[in-house]
Amino acid sequence: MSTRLSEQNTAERITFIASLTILAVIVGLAIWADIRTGDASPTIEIEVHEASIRETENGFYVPISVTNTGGKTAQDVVVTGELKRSNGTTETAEVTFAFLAGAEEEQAELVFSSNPADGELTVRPTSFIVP
Amino acid sequence: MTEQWDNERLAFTRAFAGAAVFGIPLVYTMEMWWIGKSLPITHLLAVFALGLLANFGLAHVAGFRKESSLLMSFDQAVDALAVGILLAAFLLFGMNQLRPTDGLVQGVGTVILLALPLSLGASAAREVFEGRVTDEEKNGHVHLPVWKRMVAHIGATAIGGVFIGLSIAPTDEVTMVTAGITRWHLFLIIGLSLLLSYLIVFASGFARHQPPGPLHHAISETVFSYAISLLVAILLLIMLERVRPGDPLAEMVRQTIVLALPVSIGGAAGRLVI
Repeated sequence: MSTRLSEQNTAERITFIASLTILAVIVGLAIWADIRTGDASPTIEIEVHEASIRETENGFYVPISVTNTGGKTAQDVVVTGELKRSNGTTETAEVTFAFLAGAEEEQAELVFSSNPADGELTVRPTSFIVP
Repeated sequence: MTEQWDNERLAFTRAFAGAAVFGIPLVYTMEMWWIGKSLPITHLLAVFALGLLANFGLAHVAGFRKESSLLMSFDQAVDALAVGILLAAFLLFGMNQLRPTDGLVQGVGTVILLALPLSLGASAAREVFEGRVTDEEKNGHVHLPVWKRMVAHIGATAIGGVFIGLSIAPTDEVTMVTAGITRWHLFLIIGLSLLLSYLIVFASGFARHQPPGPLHHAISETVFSYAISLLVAILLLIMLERVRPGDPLAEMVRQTIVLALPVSIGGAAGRLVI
């Protein structure tokens, strides 16, 4: 310690402590993130924002939030929306997320040609790769 | 005391400059963003430990400070890794790959992974850049005509920019980053481009043996060089058909600004050579 004190000047000591703090914070965050999310398998939860559905010339845009509530990362997450129209026919829309890390949330929009309000809309994850 | 702080300021500026020059291609690699997110904690800590060890070794033989005792090498390794972490965080934030809405912990893995190559750049900075006095400078100052210096300046900026830009322009990262950013991120990216190229050429002291550039004033030279970098970026995008005639103008502008960040860093490194 005495060697260090004689070798390092004040400025070097202060920047060293600041750097050491940054390193400690980043390692602390990584460990905390790991404890918080754990290593549970990916679980995909989807929220459909029905109040924000927009009607445009080429269809109805349905905003969704997709969250991986598990700990592990899911790759190529496919989310499929199925709209059962009142006349009995079905329309599907699909979206793929390249990566969803544990606790990560992404936004997307599904596009249907008919109004989801006039039918029954179900949105669910249909596949993903565990990397 | 002031001298101590001047030395520290120079050491850290140099470290940031080295990190930017050597690490920027990996910052523009989407696999790095994704792998960082999916690595288990044990692997992340291994990457961190490797970073500390590799920087310690580099600091002992090179390093951005002059001392090389074991203790000072450890000090430098810690500083270099901290520089890598900070620069990775700033760049990822500018590219909207580190989002406050994700929760603070979301991008930590990516930051740690990118801090490894960036910190190695920081450690290698002094060895690579400092004290390269050319024969011309040793034998006295040679006054080139203004137009010749201007041509050399533009040429070095363009060649350095092409050198780094060519490894990034053909990849999908430019399109991906462009799609994921707001106009505020564009301003941030322009700011980072100007700041980093300024740091590399002027504040780092790498170029202190050199005669002033044709524009003399540091700020105007940085802005002029950024304009060259924008031109190089758009030409690379057109040449590689990443943008085509008829694409929306706003999209072309955004892609050009996104690619001009690594191009301006390469251009600044190129100007150090002349």
